[in-house]
Amino acid sequence: MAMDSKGMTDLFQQWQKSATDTAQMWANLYSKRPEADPLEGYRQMSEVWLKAFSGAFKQQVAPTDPESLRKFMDESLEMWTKTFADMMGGQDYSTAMGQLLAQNLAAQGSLRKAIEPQMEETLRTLNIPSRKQVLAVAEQLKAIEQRLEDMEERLEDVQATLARSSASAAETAAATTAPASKRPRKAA
Amino acid sequence: MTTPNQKESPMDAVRDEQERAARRAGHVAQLARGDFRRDVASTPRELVWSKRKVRLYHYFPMAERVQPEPLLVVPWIGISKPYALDLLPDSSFIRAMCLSGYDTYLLDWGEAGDEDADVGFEQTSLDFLPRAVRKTLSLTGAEKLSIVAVCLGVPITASYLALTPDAPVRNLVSMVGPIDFDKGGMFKSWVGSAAFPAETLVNTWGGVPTSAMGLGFKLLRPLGDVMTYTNLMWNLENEAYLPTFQALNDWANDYIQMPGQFFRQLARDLYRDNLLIKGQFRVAGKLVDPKAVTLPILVVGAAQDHIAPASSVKALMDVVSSTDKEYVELPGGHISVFAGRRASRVLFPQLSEWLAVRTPHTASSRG
Repeated sequence: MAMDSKGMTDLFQQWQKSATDTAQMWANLYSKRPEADPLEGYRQMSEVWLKAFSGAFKQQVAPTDPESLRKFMDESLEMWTKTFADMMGGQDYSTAMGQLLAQNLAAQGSLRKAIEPQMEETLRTLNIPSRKQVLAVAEQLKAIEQRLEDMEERLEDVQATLARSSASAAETAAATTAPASKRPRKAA
Repeated sequence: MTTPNQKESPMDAVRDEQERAARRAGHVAQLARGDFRRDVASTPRELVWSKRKVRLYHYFPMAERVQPEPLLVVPWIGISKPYALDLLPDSSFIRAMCLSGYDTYLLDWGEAGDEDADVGFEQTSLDFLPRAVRKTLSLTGAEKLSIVAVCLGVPITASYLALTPDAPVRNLVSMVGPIDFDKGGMFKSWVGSAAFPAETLVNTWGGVPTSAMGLGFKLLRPLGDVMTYTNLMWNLENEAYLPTFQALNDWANDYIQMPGQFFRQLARDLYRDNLLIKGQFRVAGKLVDPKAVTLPILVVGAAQDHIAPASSVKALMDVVSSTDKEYVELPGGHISVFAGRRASRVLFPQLSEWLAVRTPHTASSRG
């Protein structure tokens, strides 16, 4: 079923070239910027992408049959996965992500702080328990469950001790009665 | 593809291709309808103990010769549900252990809610796990058991063993569990970064909500979904592949919340400061010294694991004092190493044999 044709390969190579040219253009554009600038992250990103493109296009012949298409797609996906891992595993990305999350959390925290008292009042008026009250009930339930668990364990310990004591009592009894019961048999 | 022996005309080839395309389209429709969805977690079990959200399940041995000591499976906490360990019958880890004759127990940490923000290593390693061990032993009458810890179940179990020198545990199997968090891959870069606001996150949300958990794991492998569906495309004609795909895909998108205190310790003490491997990790004020662990250990790493890279998993070998220890690295990812069909051929028999050799043939006081 291999249908390799010159037309397909030409088309593939044209696409290859336009993709690498675009990536190269962005890399050049950002690399011409003066020292330390806010586009530093983007510059790094375009460089990584350019490297990725050149890796993806090692294959010079257009994948026209299912097997080579699968190989091409698998290799491309693997390569892009590695590219993203390189990009997102870097210090800059981690710091930016941490800062973004911190800003998001700060905004959420402030909002919550601002609306919480009013929300409590509203819920009280509507006769609905608030999150705080439900959590307080859950705390009480946890405490009760903990006490029950401890009591159950103690009970198991007591039962085990009792079982051991009765077993040892039975052994002692057997030991004291055994000679008396054996002697007559021996005598007989 | 035609071979010289096959006299396939171009029209035959076109017809074949049309039929295959129709079959693939039919399978897409069936997937969308959920026709390939099978019952997951179908191995028979009974609930034998619970505390808060934590559940201890008992799975019955399915072999004539029952192993003398039970097996306790300690999975990860939060992130996702533990039914990946009993996904489909032909690739179920738990079922495989039952078929090997083990009385198998699963410690399911449950789905944490806002009220569980206080759950951390203090509860998991010093309360829930020891109680589950005690309950398992009292139910089976055995004096010792073996533990199979998976993913974050490994640091939890390692902390328990290090802090409980007389723990009644015969063997430990560590599966894809990170120990050296400096080698923790992308999570080390993100969660271990000084800029990561772990404390604010826990204080604001109480834990890591399912949405954030899902986002974190998707970001870990941004093209993961594309790869999943590309693989599906290539396997659309393979009817045996589709139920496994459906089950794994459903499970992989079924996230659950991680309790706040646990995440705080994981992000700050483990990913950021890597205290466990240094012997400086503290649980309830007590120092966790992995060198106190002396029991036989089997460590299983996955070569393509991007969640707990093999090097991070293998580190357990170097920090414990056990003399009987073995490391096995298998091909596969974090989940496929124990939940794939290959696992049932490779990992399960190997693991079962390793345990059997190290377990006495008769338990001293099994009732």
